[in-house]
Amino acid sequence: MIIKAALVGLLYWISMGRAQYFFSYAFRKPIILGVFIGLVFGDVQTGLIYGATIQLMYMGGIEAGGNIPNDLGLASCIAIPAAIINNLDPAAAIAIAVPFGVLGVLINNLRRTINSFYNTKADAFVEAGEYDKLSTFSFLLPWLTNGVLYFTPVFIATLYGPSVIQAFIQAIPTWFMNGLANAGAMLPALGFALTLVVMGKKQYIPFFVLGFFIHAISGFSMLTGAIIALCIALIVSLFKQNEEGELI
Amino acid sequence: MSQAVENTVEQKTIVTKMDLFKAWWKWNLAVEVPVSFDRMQALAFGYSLNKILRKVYKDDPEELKEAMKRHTSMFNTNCDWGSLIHGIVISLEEQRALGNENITPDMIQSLKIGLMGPLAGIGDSVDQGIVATIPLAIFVPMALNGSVIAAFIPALIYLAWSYGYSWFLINKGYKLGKNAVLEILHSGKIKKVIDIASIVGLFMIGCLSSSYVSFKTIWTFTSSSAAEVSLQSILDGMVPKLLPFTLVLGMYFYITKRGPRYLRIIVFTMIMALILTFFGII
Repeated sequence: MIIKAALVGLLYWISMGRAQYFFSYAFRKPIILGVFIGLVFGDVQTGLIYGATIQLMYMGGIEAGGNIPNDLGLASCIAIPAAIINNLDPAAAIAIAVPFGVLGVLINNLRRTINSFYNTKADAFVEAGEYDKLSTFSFLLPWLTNGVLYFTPVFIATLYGPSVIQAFIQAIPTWFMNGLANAGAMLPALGFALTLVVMGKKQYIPFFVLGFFIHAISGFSMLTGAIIALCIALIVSLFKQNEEGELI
Repeated sequence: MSQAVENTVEQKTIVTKMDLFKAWWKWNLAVEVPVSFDRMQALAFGYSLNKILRKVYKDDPEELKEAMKRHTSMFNTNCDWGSLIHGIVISLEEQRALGNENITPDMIQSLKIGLMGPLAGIGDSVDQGIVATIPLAIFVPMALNGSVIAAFIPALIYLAWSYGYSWFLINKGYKLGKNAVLEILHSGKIKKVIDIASIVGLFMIGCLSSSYVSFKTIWTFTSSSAAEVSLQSILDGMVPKLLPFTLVLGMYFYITKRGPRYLRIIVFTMIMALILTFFGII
């Protein structure tokens, strides 16, 4: 069981550790993880069915700006082993998956907070001209750190089994889980606010406001948004050309 | 005269196809790994360009240090569409190292920042909204019937698209930087391009905020006519999505006024969300 638990922990690290982003993004789909977790427990078909069932629920989640709305990796790596061991109904597997999908967002936020430490190290290495160390602190060490963060909870949960997991879920009050979900829905605001700060031009903030409310009213796709944005930008530059000398 | 200058610039190159390949590979490898709240993908960008910067600026340690500082500063974009920026930046740094003083650090920085917003907005929705999702919608039902192959097909489609497209874009960006951007530079249009990119970027950050920040109240109260009134419907009647809008701008003003205290913002937001949820307000 220790080996199986370690393997599932590794699967979670591959899926959320994000080394080779495209690969890990494809790998963290419940439908793929289901097959591999099934392989670990010697029953690919069952793993596949659980994975596909969980996948159905998370069909269209977009991770805008790297903010994950739900951690599909944690949802799968906790729920599928528990379901296989206890021979659970797929609906029961989903009931386990959902709260862990929310809790996984916490791990991601913790990871991004810890990573700030590597930023300060990086500044020191740039100042000292130690560019090889800069590289090590830019990828290898953050990656190993998140390995510990991702491997540990899944390893422990799989090792102690479904009964502990269910007790854990029941011990958490509903308002707390809902509160975490609400916080997860609010936190992407920080990434957008930060981008506004970096883009820096205060006199351009009205374009942000315009984009926000036009989208809030009509809810079009991002591609439509890009077309509208480009037209507005071109019109603005047309006006600037006419008043050359004053505004440019 | 200017023809002669352009010719010498055209002919010299330091960056080989292999260097470009390594930068591309390292970007894909690292992109989301060192992500932090305060600088997002900054270190991954620096990691990708590390070897190339050391190669082009090998005779000028001061310029190298400045370039390293530039490319470990705040950056955030979509992984494959963003490769275009790497291509352009690499060729601009190369031209600068070769002595083209028209290319200023300021210009490189504003191109980088100007392009990251629009590319993130379009890229995230095309990659995750279309390329990753539509094949899932087709193949998950087959997987539910027990087909292991059907489980892998959506992932393979996504991988082929994202690796192929990002490799294409980094090359495209490098060529653009060598030819088009230099031309634009000579005609003084660069400010216009950056302006347009900034407007598009800010507009799209607006669309993205409206789409992905969710903050609603579920609080209801009884009015004098004894009907249940929900606060959210009143707010929606005034201005749609007022709460998420206030949240983003509130954070923006907090950062500009009080400085980059990201941890405080995160902790405060989480505690506030828990308290408001506890009292049944959101």
